[in-house]
Amino acid sequence: MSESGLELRAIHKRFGDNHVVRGLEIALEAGEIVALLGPSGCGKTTALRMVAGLETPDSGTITIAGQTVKSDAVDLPPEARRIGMVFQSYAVWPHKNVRDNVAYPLKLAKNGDAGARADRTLELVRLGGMGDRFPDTLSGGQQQRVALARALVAEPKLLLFDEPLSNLDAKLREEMRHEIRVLAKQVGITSLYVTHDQPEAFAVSDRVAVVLDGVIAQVAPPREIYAEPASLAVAKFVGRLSILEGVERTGEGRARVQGFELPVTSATDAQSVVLGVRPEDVRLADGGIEGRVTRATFLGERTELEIETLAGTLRADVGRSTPVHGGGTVHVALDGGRLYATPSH
Amino acid sequence: MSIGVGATAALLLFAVWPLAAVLRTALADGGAPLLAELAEPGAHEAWFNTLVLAGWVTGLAVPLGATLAWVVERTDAFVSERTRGATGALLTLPLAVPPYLLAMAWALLGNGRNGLLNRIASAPWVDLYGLDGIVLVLVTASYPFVLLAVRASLSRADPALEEAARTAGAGPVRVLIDVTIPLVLPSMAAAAGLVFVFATAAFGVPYLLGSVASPPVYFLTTRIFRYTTLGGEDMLARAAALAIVLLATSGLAQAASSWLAKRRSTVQVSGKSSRPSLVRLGPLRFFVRAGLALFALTAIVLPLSTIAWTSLAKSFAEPGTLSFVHWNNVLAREETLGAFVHSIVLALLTGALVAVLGLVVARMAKVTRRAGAVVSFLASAPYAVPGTVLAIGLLLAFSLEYRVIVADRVTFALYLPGTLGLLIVAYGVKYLAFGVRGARAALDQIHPSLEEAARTSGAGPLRGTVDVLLPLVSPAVLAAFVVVALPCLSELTMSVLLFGAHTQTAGTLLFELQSYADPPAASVVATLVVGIALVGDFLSRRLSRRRTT
Repeated sequence: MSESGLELRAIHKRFGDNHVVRGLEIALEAGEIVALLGPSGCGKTTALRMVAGLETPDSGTITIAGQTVKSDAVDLPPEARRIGMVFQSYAVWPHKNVRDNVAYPLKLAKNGDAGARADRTLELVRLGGMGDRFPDTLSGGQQQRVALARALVAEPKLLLFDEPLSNLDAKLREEMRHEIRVLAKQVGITSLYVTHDQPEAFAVSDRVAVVLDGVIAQVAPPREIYAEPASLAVAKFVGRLSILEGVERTGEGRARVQGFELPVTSATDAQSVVLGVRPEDVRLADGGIEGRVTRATFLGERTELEIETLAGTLRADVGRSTPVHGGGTVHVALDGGRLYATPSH
Repeated sequence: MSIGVGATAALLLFAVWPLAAVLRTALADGGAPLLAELAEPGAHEAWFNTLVLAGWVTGLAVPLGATLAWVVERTDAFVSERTRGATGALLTLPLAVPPYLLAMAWALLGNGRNGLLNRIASAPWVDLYGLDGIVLVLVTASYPFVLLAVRASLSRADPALEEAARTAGAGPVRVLIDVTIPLVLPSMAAAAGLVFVFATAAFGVPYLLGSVASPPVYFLTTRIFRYTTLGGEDMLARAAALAIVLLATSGLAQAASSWLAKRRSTVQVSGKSSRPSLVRLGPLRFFVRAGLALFALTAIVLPLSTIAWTSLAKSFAEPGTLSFVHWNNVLAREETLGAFVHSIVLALLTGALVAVLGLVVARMAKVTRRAGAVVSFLASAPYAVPGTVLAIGLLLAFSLEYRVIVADRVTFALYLPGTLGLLIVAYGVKYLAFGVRGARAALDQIHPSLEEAARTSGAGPLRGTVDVLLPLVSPAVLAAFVVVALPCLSELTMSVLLFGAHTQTAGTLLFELQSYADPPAASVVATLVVGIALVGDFLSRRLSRRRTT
């Protein structure tokens, strides 16, 4: 078994009547990057803040790199947990210049050449030579790099990211998520990354943990999360999904809907099932399920169709040159899908 | 627009001209009054005392207010959020109480010979007459300025700034030193300026506790007052000369503090409104709580209850026997009733006047850029002028009757000395800044598209203003009315220079009763003033809470 980077066991947290985190459990290997992905209010940020020691769990155990930092008997304050954290609002101190911001953790650790090491870390995040600038002269992206350098500089055991990119514009966001991953891997540091943005979670992490209602619904590598969601709720949150009813199993890995058979995977043993279909698995064909196009939206690189069928509404991605208009009748073939237990209402 | 022209004319007449009169008088005959006054050792001493007083008050009130702000805003010293809120409200209560009432209370408690504290201890261990006592009373009256400013800047600061320091390895004390204090430093500098100016311009407290001390201590404001009581043209010129010194001192202090506050202004807009994690006081929690309770009891509860109790104590010799005899005596006097009626009328009229004028000026400032900026400066600047200086200016400018005769028939006469009109002018000029500020903030919140939508719906300019703008700004206008009316109810500094035989106010009545050394009667009036002030303060807090929801 490989070395442990971070372990959360049976974490509970209530704010008044609101039971935000309900027995959350997760384990990260040393050097692994895991994204906590979930809708707002699911408890992911609270979980992260409890790891940092900024919130106190009602119960549960937190272990960072083999050292228990929170249990019934132990409660280390944030400054004793040997972590680095990057905040959504950057939290770069306006009264210190860039170098003093980055050098701060080293100064607290009584490190002699704090300034020089801060400068080296600034070069790592491509801010070399900017040490004397003050934060109010930096762009949002540069401030976030300062925050990143500050989190990295003291070689912490664990890096925590709290929606670090959500204040940046779309283009910068894509660039930064790549950089964050490369840096974390280069330094080899265990990282926990909170986001509500699915592409960001996929791009940054080795594994994605989907958090729903205060518990981890599924932890898996991005490909697996997308292709084999453990439940309908996970499937709905990760990417776009259409749900068809009136589905029956016809054999191992096969199912029939509206008289047409298709290859499927299954998330359940239940008899009563629905079929979850990704838009890219739907294709226009000469024969197949009949439906009426209720909406055609041109999005640039593709056209998204909404097709009403007897089994339910399907979303389909078709090429941008496909000549389809709202109101017309089409036939679609399904290249794959996944069976889920029929949700109880 | 004609309203705007009227407002400008009124400001020129009632704000600019009186200040010009101070200058003209002080600099008459090649500056003879000013030079004569500057040569007086007494003037040097008053100036020196004022600076020492303001320095001490600032030096004590700023750390005190900032510490209280931090405890209230950032620590777990409280049982619940309700207690936190209630403590915050209690600690700002002195703002609602006129400082000279606190001085009265402390005079009763700490008179060197027969103060209550000395009588209880049967030994003369404390004497609050003199500079020390004045400093202490002004500190308890002014620390709430600092508390409010620092609390506001703490609650505005992004909690992540402090959390980032925790995760970087700093303990709570390091976070306080390295992050929290630097973040609130600009607001502390601004508040320090406010306190310094407050102490420089203070009149009631230095007069009550200073001019009867042995030896008496005089300050710029009280020396000016002494000149006016001596009477005569020469003495008034001397008062004007000293008023210039006072104005310059307070102006310099303001300039210095706004320079300090702006030098490294660190406005941080919080990205995410997460609640800041509270500093755990641990074993210190008990001491912090005890300290808070002791402070609130000594600085707030003790003086206020002393006043109420003195008004009920049957006689000085028998402080234990309670009776309403003083209340009956005082309330039966016609002058008491008259003074309160005057104060209430003055407060209501000034409040209404300022609320409306403030809206007009703020609106002008928005519509016409350059003219508006000038008018809104004229309207806001007098607040920074010490009340004593304003009052001297009004005395000099309006000592005569002015008649404007149009076509030999219609006569407009302006005769202000000894009338309520003079007091309304003084209060209005002093507090117009509150009206402008409130209306300005409200107007800035209203997006132009709201009024534009009314216009495109078919409303004319006046109709659009009445239907859309007025309903939206009315809460702010009402708030300005209350904020102005409350201090007017108990105003002393200007009233004491401007009131006449028939325009006694609550403040001046109290001042006279205290000067005639009739503590029980003064306590009755003071209890009434405090009661009205606290009720008004309570109502205005309710009002502002409703406005923010």
